[in-house]
Amino acid sequence: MFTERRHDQLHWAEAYEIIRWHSDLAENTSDEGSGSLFIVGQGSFSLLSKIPSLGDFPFRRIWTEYVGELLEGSHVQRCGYIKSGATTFVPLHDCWLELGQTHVGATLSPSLMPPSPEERTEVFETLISSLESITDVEVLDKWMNLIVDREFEDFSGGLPDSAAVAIFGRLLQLDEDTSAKWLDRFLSEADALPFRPGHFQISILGTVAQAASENVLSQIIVERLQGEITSMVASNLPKISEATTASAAVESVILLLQAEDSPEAALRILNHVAKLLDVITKEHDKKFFLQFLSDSLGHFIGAENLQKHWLKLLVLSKFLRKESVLWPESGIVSLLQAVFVEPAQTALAAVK
Amino acid sequence: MIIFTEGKSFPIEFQTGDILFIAGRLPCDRSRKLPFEHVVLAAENRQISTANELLDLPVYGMPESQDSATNKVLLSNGWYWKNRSVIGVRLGSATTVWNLAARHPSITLQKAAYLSLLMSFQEGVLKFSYDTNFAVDHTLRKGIKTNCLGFVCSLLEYFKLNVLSRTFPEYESPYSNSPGRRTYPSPGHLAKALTYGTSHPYLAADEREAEWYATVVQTLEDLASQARDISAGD
Repeated sequence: MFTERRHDQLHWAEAYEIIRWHSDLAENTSDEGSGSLFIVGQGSFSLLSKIPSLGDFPFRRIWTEYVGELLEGSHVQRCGYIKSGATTFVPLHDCWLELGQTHVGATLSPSLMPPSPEERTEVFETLISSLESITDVEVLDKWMNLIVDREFEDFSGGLPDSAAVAIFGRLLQLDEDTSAKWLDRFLSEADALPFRPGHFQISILGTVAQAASENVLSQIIVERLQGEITSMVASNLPKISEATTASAAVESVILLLQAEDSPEAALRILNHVAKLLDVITKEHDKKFFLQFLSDSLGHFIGAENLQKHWLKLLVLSKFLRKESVLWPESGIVSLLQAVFVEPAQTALAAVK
Repeated sequence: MIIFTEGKSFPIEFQTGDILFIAGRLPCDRSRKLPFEHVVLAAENRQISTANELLDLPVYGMPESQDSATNKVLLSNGWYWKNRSVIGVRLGSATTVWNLAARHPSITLQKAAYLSLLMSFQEGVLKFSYDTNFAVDHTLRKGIKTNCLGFVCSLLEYFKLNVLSRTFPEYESPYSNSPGRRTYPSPGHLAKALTYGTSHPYLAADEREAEWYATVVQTLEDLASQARDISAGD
């Protein structure tokens, strides 16, 4: 069959044949056929060829027929990957989209978007389904642009929010500059975006908090969030919406999760929360803020990893008390009550 | 309690946390298995006056299959379901339709407003992924594999609202996409538990009751029957 030496001379028709061949191979045997175009290395394919004669039409044809086969097939184990630029053909890697017992996947550059709504939606769904295996920041960035600029709106009548959150989450793992750029836009243009204002920002901040809990958050993003909170504290708004209050709580959680567990950091976080509580004037709103802080912190910190954040939480328990929140039975308040507050009360009672 | 049966009860004030079902359509045909039923949570407070507005209502639920690899809760709406075929069944067809909603009495308007934002946060962090089996994680932290009912029950139990027993008397699955015997609750049991004000957590008394109320459409049938009786009495 075709070998690596021939890739730079490939005509689109040959590339198509290779794809067909690969598909047939995968359907007929579990043998990975070492040495073929698609089976170079174990699990990762590099850029192998540029095919100057490949235009939009053949790509669409390849995509339509090949991916169609992949999605409908039941024995395919490997996939091709068609990358940005109408003339670049990049067999890439194992994909992991699970279809029952099958592991397949494929994606397509937004610049090669198929003309029909059905095909576009199919491309998009394939992208989302294989998101965890995609490492091309440019492709993800382009798709995000298409969604945010409302150039792609085929969500089967659904909403774009979850898709954008998922793509942003992947960008956070891959590229700090691109993710910081999007975070900035999401936070500063909430009302102009095609997402539910307020709610979408909280989802995005949740994704950032998840990255902070996994220690993969970049300093650029931390600084961006610190600036956001500083600006909120300085703005001295007469009324802060519940969505803004909740966002401030999640931003506080992010700062707490990424800070070291030292007395200095603990005091810094204490002062930060105290300043926010000063800005929030109504008693109910303060409870709302602390409840959201409790619930979102509780998502990341439990008895099993409390030790890692011990000093920070010890200090924060000044605010996170059962009488300070709306529903003390949920979130981290109940844990702090058991670990810090009740033992302290018992000790004090014994002294008296 | 909210009752909606194919547009007959508009307008309806939905609030976040209301539970909506894609259920079998009346009349309930017990001789045939349904392809599936689905349950989700309303994501906003909103007054709904028409069937189309109901399809616009944003809802949170588990991705409907293992194909959805985002591994997180999915914000969608009725159009999302109506426009796609699942296991060969076009939603909104004669077989399945959005047709019943219910509310847990403890979810007040204040709590609903809070829940709306908390679910948005969960959309960014929740690591649940789809599985046909029912599992509940009241901490929302464990990244479990569960079905649509498990997701809804996990959210409710996070707020200490234990509506359903985790295990049920063994009964025959009413769904053709997940056949066989099961010992865990189905969406219909949630519909019954919330609609009839039974004590919580609800546990079917025996195999017969478990099987009878396993589908949402059975509760819908009962409600329609009650409405007919009241109407005849007048």
